[in-house]
Parts: sequence; C-alpha cells; structure tokens
Amino acid sequence: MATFAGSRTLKELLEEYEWELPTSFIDVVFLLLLYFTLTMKFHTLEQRMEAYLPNKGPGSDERPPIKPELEIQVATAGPASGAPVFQVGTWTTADPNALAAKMAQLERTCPKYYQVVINGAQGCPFKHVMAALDACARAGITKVDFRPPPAADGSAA
Amino acid sequence: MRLLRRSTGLKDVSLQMTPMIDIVFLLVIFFLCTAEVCKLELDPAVTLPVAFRASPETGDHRLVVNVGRDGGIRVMSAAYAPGELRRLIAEEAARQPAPDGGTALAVKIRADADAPYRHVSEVMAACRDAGVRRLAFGASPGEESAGSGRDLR
Repeated sequence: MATFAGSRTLKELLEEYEWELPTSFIDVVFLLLLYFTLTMKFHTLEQRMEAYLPNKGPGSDERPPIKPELEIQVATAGPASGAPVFQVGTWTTADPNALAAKMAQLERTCPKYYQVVINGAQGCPFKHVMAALDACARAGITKVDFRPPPAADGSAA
Repeated sequence: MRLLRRSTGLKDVSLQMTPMIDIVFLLVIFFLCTAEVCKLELDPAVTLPVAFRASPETGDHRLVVNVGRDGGIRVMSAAYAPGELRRLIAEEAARQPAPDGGTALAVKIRADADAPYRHVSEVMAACRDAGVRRLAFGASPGEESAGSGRDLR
C-alpha cells in the first residue's frame, strides 16, 4: 500500500481525516441533477413534426412554384375497424411503412418533382394524417402541403 | 473541499438546516413555475399521435393550439370557437411581422391522436389565411421496431 506523510498508510489517513462537503457544492449538484432529469424528460415526452405551409396569406403575392401534385388520400377503412387507408393514385395500402416505401421510391425516381399534398378525410382520426406526414418525412419529403377543408357551401376553399 | 481532523466526541454534532431549507424552497419554486406553464400551454387531456421522424423541441416560441379528442380548441387554457381562433391567429401574425413582409409567427398544433381531422384542418386553414408558414404538430416519439420507422431515403 502507498505511504503518505512519513510512514502512515492511506487507510490510516482516511481514518484520521473526514471529508466535509461545502453546502454550496451540494446545492449545485442537486440543481444540476434536477435540471438534467427534468429537461431530459421533456425532450422524451413531446416532440414535433415540422410542416411548411405555402404562403397564401392575404396581401401576399408569393405563390408556390407550379409542380405536379401527388396527392395522398387518407381515410378510415370503416367506423368499426378504425384502420387507415392510404391512397396514392390507384395504389392503396393500410400500412404506413408501405406508404413510406412507396414515397421513397417516387422520390428516388423523380427527386423534388412532385408537390406532395395530403388530403385527409374530414372524419378520419388525426393520427392517420400524422402517419402519412411521418411516412413522407421518412422518405425525405419535408415540404408537404395539406388540402384545405371544403367550404361550407361544399366547394373547395 | 477541506480536510478536517475527525472529532472524537459528539458534543459538536449539529444538523445543518440551511442547505435543506434552501433546496426545499428551490423545489417548491420550480414545481410551482413548471405547473403553471404546463397548465397554460399544454392541455394534459390531449394524447399526441406517434411519429418516428419527429424532432425534439428546441424551445423557440410558438403559439400552441390544443385540439382535444372532441375537437375542442384551447389556447393558453382558454376555449376558442373556430372563428375566434381565426381572429386570434390573425392578430398574433400581425403582431409579429417578418422582414419580408409576411409574418414570423410560428404555430404548434397539439392535436389529439383521435381528434377528427376536420378540426385540425380548420386550425391549419386559419394559419394559412393569416400567412403563417412555420407550422409544427405535436407528436410522441415512436419506438422503432423491426421494419417500422426506418429512414427510407
């Protein structure tokens, strides 16, 4: 065993002396512990999906570039099942992973060619629309537009 | 940290109350503040949908609009009718002008996973009409299992 202060061993030194932690040190450690625990929890609990709406505000002259639209129709299979139905043209699936693969394939074939528009059925749960948006994000498509709800008279807004 | 000579008797033993009181007060203040923020901005009744590609919150200021399972719209704990919300977003957008003439307002929609899409769509239409371009949806992070949530790029 290593010796210190002449011939005394480390064990003898530790027995003879005691550590006194300053109160401010304990304060800071507790505060840091609290801070990191709580911020980590917030990050895990809630996140966000970004979406960028084309600028169509009043008085705005800016218009999005004209691109062919690729519409993803989102609906529910039936009121009893609640399962989603995603439709791109004539292609239909109920699996968000299959939709993501389809969108990735389209994006690889024609990068940035289409303006992807999500058209959710008005009564379908929001989670299905979010699944479609998530599938686009996984395929690398971040600029997604949303079909506006029909106006009260039945015409498109 | 200092090294003190270990005392041999128990006469000078005393419980230091000051740091304990200090910490208790800090905890009380912290929980009071966070509880207030949660009550105002986040509706605890809203169950967020799962998304695999959601990004962590960065803490930038956004107008948070909660859409409940029944379609009820709440902003800062106050209930809003669709028309009132439209006015609120338009006012907030006008209050935060962007250098390019538009608005710098960013909106976060915290919609319940089972809320009918028409209600979310109404909020989005209000944002669009007010010229809001920066929009985000509240989401719960998804756990990646086999074949789900993979990045397909």
